Amino acid sequence: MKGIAHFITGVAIVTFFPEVVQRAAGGSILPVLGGVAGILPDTLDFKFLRYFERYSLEVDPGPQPDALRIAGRLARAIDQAYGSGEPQSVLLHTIRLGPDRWRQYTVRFDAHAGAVAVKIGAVVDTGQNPMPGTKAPEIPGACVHFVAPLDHAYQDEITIDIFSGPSFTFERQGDCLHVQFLDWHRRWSHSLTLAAALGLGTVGLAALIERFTGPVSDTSLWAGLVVGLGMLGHILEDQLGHMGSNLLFPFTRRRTRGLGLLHSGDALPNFLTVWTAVMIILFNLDRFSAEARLVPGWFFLGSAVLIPVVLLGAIYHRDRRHQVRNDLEGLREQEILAEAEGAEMT
Amino acid sequence: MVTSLLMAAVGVLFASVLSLVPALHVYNVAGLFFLGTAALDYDMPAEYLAPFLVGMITGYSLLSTVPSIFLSAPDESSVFMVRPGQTYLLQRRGYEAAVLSGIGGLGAVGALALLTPVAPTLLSAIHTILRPHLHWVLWAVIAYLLLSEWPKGSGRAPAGWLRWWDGWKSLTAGLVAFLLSGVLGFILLYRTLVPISVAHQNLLPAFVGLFALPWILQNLLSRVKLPEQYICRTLDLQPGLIVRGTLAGVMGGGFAAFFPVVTGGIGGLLAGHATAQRDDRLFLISQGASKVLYYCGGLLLLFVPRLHLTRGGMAWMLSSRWSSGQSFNLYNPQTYYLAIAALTFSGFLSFFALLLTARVAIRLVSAVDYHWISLGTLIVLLIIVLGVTGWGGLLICFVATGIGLIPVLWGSRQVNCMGVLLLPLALNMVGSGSHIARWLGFV
Repeated sequence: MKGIAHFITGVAIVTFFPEVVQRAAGGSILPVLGGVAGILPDTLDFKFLRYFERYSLEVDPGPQPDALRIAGRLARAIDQAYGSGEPQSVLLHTIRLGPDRWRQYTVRFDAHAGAVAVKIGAVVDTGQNPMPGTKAPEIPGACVHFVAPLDHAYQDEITIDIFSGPSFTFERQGDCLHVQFLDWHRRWSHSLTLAAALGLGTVGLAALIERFTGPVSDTSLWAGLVVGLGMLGHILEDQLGHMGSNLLFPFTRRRTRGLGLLHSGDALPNFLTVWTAVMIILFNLDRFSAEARLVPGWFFLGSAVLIPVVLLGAIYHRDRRHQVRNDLEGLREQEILAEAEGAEMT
Repeated sequence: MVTSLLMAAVGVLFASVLSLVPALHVYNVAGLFFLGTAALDYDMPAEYLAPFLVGMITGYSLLSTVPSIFLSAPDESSVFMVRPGQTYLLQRRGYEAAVLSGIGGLGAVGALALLTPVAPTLLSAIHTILRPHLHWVLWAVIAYLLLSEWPKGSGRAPAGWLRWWDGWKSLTAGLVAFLLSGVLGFILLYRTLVPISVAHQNLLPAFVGLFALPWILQNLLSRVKLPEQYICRTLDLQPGLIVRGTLAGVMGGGFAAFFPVVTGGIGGLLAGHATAQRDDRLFLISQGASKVLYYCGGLLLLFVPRLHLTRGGMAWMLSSRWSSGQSFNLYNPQTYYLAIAALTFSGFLSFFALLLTARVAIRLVSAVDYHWISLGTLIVLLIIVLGVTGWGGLLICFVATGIGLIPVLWGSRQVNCMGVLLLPLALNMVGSGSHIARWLGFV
């Protein structure tokens, strides 16, 4: 999901509590805290964790990219991870040519053929628009074979163009080699345990602040609840997609796979989430006010929430059904790359 | 009715000419218009004034795309159009970008017309529900604005704090721009250098400095050479894309029109995020729709029966000019329907005026070197600021330009400069504004 969907979901969840709504009407900004907590897991990942991740291999193609060299280094990393049993994390750097110019290149892992293919593409601007006449046919593509059995059905090309490039980890599991995209994403920052810990931490911090400024009230409890629930909303929303999160860190080490109901980068689920959250906020603000105006409530929820969700949801799932059947693993990888791309673009 | 529509057409014509003067905001022109009529001791009859202003704001909201795209001189509501607009320009597709934005604008006019029957009931209920919650909604907008910007480093520094700082440079620049523009907002609110006689133009120098001049200076410094522009006869555009873009813009612009202080640029940003847009065509359509919804929707809120909400500079000027003794009643359903008719008519006219002015702009950029155009634009802007707000205003404009250059040079969002309005007003709403102003030594 995009940041705005998580943010507004965090706000919507906390408006279910009349105490929060009434305090907000009286001047409090508690619902904002819910929104901030809602976007927090991705903030931790994309604004902090990614920078502290150390890689076994960083591929920097430079201004004169050599496709054969890139493919060769990737193929070696794959075989090394399989042969040694030690996971190999790889970061592919982008090719920056100027303040608003980047050379695009694509990488494709072909598990069936046992090969890595790299192709050098056009010069693009920061909006990812190709500049006319900048295709690079003079720079040949390359394909290098590896021996490791790659259990990876993702056949789509990975495009590397603007800002910072993608990363992935090759990891041997049994007789197969798996690829984990953006391995640093959705680990402890997306865990229920962190949500609970942060909620409790907020209670303590808010109580401490209150202690210094006056008598301690139940506001600190509400602040903790709001933070915990805001984060919980984010984690549960992400679980609707394919990739999932490491829900019970530190008790679990791997991501729990998502339900696969949607693709986090798709427009329709994001729009529906934002729309539904806004309608729920309106509904809750109304019913917890002195005089409710959106009556009858069931009519409002039915027409403003249920009908759009059912109609647009049905259209979305019809379009996606055959996609899911064809390439479940690919969808998982696409989802996480799309999420990273969204983070870069916004 | 016919006279009213004619007045709307005059408003569009007025806006068409003015739109070719970069960064001359419709609110400033309306303010000068009122000053001029007062100086001449002429009071335009209310039944003509309302459609004239509706025509003018509709024309402006569609046509201000032209200076944003061709001259890179945006106002605060079209600042997001500059980058995709420049990309299109460099691809010889500036005209196409203007048309895409115009299609979004037309879609927004259609949406406003469609909402006419339900607006009185729906909007008055929503307004009543949200009234006690405006403060935290505004803080939520600020929080999202700042939190949703992601780092843009190349990631080449060694892993750890060095790499973190490489990514965070742009974010830090954005935060600094937000805070500094917020302090500038406090200065404008408590210790402005703009003479009291033109107090209604208080924001002009700041907005020109924050949003228009940085782009123009960048154009002057860079070695951009514009290719010959291509005037397309068809567009690669599916109906679904038009609907999506318009819907996104309507949502964002509607939000901006309804909530105080939130501008069309912020509305456009939220709309883009809510619909996960990645297509430049979709983006331009949504920005065009958002701008029209923000400006026209904001003014129309004044006419909506049972609501009569004053949002945006034009509504404030119009409502303050209205005297209760006038035969033409601002607050009745007939005026509302008249305003909608004027809007629809003006929107239709403005779209064609947009096509015409875009062609004029193309001729201009093909006949004159882009650097000279940028230099001319810069001089025009400075003359406007100096002429309207005096030396004090010019000083504010220079300071604002310094702040506005921060996001341009460090690659963060220009909309962070909306701190000039967001920060002081959000702090005032939670009762902290005066404390901060005192702490800053302004009171």
